[in-house]
Amino acid sequence: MFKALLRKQLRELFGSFTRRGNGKKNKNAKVGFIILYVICFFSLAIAFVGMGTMYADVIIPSGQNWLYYSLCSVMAVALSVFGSSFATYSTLYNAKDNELLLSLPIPPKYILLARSISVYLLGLMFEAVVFIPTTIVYLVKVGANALNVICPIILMFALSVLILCLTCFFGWVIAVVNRKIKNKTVGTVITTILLLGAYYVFYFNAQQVLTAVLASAMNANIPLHIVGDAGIGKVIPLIAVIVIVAILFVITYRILSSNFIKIVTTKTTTKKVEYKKNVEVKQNTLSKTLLKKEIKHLKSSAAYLMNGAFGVLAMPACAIVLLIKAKDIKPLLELVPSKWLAIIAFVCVAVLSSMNSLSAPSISLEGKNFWIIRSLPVNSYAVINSKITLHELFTIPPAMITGIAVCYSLSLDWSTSVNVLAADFIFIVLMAQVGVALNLKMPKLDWVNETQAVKNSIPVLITIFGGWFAAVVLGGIYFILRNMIDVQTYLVALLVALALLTRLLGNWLRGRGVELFEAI
Amino acid sequence: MLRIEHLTKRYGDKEAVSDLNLEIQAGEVYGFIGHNGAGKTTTLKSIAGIMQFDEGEIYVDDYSVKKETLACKKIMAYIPDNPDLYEFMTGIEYLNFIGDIFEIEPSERMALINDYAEKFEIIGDLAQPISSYSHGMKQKLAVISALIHKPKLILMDEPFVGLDPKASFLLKNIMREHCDNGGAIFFSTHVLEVAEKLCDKVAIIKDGKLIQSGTMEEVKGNESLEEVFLELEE
Repeated sequence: MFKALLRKQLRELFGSFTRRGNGKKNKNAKVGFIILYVICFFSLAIAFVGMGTMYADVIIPSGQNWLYYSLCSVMAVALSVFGSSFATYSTLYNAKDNELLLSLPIPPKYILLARSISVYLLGLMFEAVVFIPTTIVYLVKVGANALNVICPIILMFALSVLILCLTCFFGWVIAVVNRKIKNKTVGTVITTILLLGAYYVFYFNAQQVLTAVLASAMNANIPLHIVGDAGIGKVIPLIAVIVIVAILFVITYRILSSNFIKIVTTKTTTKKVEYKKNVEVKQNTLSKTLLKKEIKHLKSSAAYLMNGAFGVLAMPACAIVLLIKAKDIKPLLELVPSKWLAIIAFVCVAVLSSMNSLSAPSISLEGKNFWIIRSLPVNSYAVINSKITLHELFTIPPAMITGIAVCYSLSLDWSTSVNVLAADFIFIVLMAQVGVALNLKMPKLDWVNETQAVKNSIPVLITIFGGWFAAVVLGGIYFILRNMIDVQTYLVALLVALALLTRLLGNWLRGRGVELFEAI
Repeated sequence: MLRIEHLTKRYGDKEAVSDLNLEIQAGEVYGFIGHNGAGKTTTLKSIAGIMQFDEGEIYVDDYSVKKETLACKKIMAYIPDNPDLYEFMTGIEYLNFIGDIFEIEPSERMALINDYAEKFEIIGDLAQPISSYSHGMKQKLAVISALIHKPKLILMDEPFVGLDPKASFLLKNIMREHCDNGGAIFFSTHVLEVAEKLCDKVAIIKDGKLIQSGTMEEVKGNESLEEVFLELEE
């Protein structure tokens, strides 16, 4: 029974990458997904290779090798919890087939366990991005033997269970809070933001944490010391970690199982809103009607908000931090040639804006409601355009505010700033179109929970990582050409090139895009 | 009102609908019956412009569904068997959404909404989110959304599923009234007694092929529709 449930869950998880919108399997998509994951993995792994090298060069000569794995484990767990927490509540408690499964003779704890597999694999994916490169760095620095190869691998899997416990616990907290409040979207978003806030407080105070860890380096009893020892190949600390994690898992599982049915099946009773017959209604234009529908959908879905519109929060937060820290970064800026600053500004804003992925899942999010828009006398391009507009509406304003803050912090003159902002503006418009174009090529309407559409989605992955990659490449091109072209000319040329691409893609959407939409 | 010529729709190698020809005149309530998987929903979705078909043509009031899709959709309404509506909207928000799409004048729209909502007894629930609606309430809301823009042709896929007896009775009356006023209705159903009493004409589909069609008298003769259907399905 559990095997059947597990098979279903894995099919749901990986099917989102390998099935076309018509439900047919796409073998090429399977290969494509693996290639995409490998590319994303290597792109992020490079950053952690750098981090690992930096730690190793300081720690290993001191002889406190355990500290290396302690720090890397903390980083891996933090990143993984951060990356997979948003999805946990939706995956565990908001799946559309929860009631169906509960009506079958399946123990609820099995349903919970099977759903946890999706959360586990997501957490493991994020953890591996940190753990594998940092382990490789360590082995290169100290040399490999059987124990210091096998032990960190086992440690990685043990920590992935810890990550599962943490993310499931966070998901449970959100579920319990949401049972008490009327607006579940607000509840989920606020609770998640509080968790994020706690994460950032921890991250920005990491320096103090590290100092405290170093100060107590001789203390063999601290938990981090045990994790670190397990990583460097000591068997007894590894067994201790496995036992502790196993106990935590059992406790977490018991807590979650105790009220899983209650949370999943109990609807919050809310006060009935009185319908007023004689309210004045205004006629909206078609474009406004379609856009209002998209905004309404976004506001109602915590998964869509937190995963697709994360940049709306992150960008202004970065702008505020930058303005506060402007004086502190000035000495660093003096080390950088002034003509590079405009490009750095463009790349920063473009990368930050790519954290928003509102258009990329927007076709998939129509889900079982797709028949509505297809049966209405609405031009297909008008529907597509409403999804592009949604992305632009929620990305351009915070991006421009961030851009202004970046340009001010980097002391760019007004004409350069205008060019930077204009280039970022067009970049965002282009990425909005790219997102919806990818979703038209790879729609998935048969999701069970919205997280599958907004997170476990190739169009979303490509749009986010592609956006980052494109921003860095566009910046990199200037560095190659820096001696041949001045920065203002480059920015204008970039603006024109991006505008041209936007126009071409717009034409494609009006033609082939509409055909794809109508064939879904 | 509706003319289907040589409609064929394939899913891979399987022909879900094969060379279907059908004509519905204004004023007719036309029933569409067949076994599960016979091709009823595929046919209805093809007419509604939701699903592209491989061969043939469909005309709604002489507008081609393939070439003049928007013109067809403006005079049609489609109600699916499973009323998956926008759960992030309230009932009234959904109806106003439909009203905006069809450019129904606000005062006329509200009058129609209030009238139908009173009749279907969901007026007190219109301000509630659709996510809180039962299946039957969603079905009623879907029916209201189809009626408020006064379509000429209404396509319904098993419209009586989930409706309480009072609502079913009301819907039947609305359907008859709609056709008596010059409209047409093409609906699929498994409830053969309803089809027998309500429909002017009926078509029976089996494995994608139309096997019998005509007036109720022509199709069933002295037998019941159920008997005719079971004989033809063998």
